[in-house]
Amino acid sequence: MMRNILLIIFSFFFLISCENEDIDKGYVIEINEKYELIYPNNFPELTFDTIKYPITKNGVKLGKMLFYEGKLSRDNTISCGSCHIQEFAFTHHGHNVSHGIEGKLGIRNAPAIQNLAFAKNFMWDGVIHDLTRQSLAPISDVNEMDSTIEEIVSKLKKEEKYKSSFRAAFGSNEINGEKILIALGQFMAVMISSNSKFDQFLSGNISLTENEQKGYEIFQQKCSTCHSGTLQTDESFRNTGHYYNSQYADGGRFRVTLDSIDFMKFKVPSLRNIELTAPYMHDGRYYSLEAVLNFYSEGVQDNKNLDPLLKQNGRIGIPISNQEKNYLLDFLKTLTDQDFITNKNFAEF
Amino acid sequence: MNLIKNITIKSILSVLTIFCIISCNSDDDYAEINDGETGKIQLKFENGFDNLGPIVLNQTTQTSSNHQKHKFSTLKYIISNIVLIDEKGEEFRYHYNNPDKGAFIVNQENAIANVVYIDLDEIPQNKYTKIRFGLGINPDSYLLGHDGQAIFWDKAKTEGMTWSWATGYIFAKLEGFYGENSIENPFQNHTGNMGDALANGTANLYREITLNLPTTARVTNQIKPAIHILANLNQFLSGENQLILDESNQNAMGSSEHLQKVSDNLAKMFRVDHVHND
Repeated sequence: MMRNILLIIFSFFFLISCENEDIDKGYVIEINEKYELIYPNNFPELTFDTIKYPITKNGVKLGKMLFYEGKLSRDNTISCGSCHIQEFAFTHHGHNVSHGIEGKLGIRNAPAIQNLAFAKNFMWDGVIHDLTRQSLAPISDVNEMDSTIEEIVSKLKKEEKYKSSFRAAFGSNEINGEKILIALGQFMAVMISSNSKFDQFLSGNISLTENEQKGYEIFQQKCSTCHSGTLQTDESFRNTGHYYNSQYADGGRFRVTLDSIDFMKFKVPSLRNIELTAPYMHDGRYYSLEAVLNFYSEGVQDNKNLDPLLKQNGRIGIPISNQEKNYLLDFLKTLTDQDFITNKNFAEF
Repeated sequence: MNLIKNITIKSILSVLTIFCIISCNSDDDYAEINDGETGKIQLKFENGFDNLGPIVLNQTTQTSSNHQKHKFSTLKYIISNIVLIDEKGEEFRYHYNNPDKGAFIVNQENAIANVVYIDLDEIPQNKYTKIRFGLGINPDSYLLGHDGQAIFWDKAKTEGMTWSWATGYIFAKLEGFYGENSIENPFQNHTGNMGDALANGTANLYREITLNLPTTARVTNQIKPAIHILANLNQFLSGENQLILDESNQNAMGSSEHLQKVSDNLAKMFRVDHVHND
């Protein structure tokens, strides 16, 4: 009897000590294989620096854990995945601007997370140039996650699963900010959407319907100067004649350069999975794609910074007939990638 | 020895079971409805144009079904007599015909990220499947007299939602600009009853609206549901009454025929987009 009780007490101590102390138990480090990025030939050149930040299977796995980790926010309630929801191509569907901790509101519509390994800069104003630094912005923003790297490191250090995951990804138990950011960067870098109907069309596997084809032709004539290339963005910043929304006091690129010529310029977004990412524009001011097309045909407001492409031949905006809009909508829906939004490798559960 | 061993195992098991029960209970608490206890609920009003986007004052420009462009510079309306209806059809009336406690002004100027919030407390814990509310102030409430609603009257007065007492409340205040090509003609449409509508023999513009909730709103100790209501302001000019603004009605105050049509249109503008149970 006594022996049993002692045994139980002893094992309790053992369990407790395991949880609290940082003992290197001499685990064999998991083999950390390289993660091969697979994408079509017609995609732009990779911008993610895989020499500086080699992408590994364990790094991506850790990045995904962190992406869905509420402890990245001050009150443990908001993860990256709270506003970047897979079913909606990693946007915050139905929310014009993002909601952070304690119900606080941000100023911008959460952009899609997809094909970022090919992007030259990030955010609606392009303030960030390195995907492994991107996560710092939402983590530290007082209206989003309102936390700090120090706070996150101290929370993660208390969890056994992170010790082993950091070890598997980076070879040592140590948890630090640099590793957190790089792991998140690796996860986001592998989030490639490349199997839409449009991709299959480009690779010659299928053909578009007559209406989609017409839409594609109109798109090439009227939209593809800015929405250029396979990812439908030239990554420029443009003033498209949208009013300044005083609710959010957001001047766009002006916030970065403080040059008045950049007032109300925003980054041309990729149109991948656009069917799924309503509401639209930097502040979610349009409920639907129809509203966006109506804006470009009828609603563009002239101003001194208006992009010259939107005032050609003495007309403000882009002339698009109602019939053309229907064709364009048919085409835009070919950019939806079901594989991407259901891919288990990116899913929370 | 064996007996003692059994007792030890049994006591460990019972301790474990108790822990399990405790943890199960705390899960249940979250969704558990306690009869006789109250909770909170939040109404979120988002004013928008259905096929366009949320309304930003002086900015969002819409074209009506009669091809009139228009935008709002002021957009306010009174919500009152909120009723929550449960699965069995039983109604909880929130300060019914008591404007001081049960009437609210939805003012687009106060929108935060395009949403105007109304917080209601002391709501009986229950699963609610419908909501009903009034647009404007019920004539019966008005009959309480000024003393019976001095707090709300003052609030409404500060918000510019009253005429004099004899004339009564402004139920909905829609102001802005309209035009065919350029949008420069001002309009002011203020709907409301002319005092005691029954005694004065004037039209009653108070309307009640019942909406189904797409998911049940569950009020518990832990859950404060938020009911997100979209108001589609296309109804103003492009509702069941397709209206054209012109010199005859661009400055309309009271309960004229035009404003009766506006009221009927506005009564159809609401729908519940979603409910958050958290």
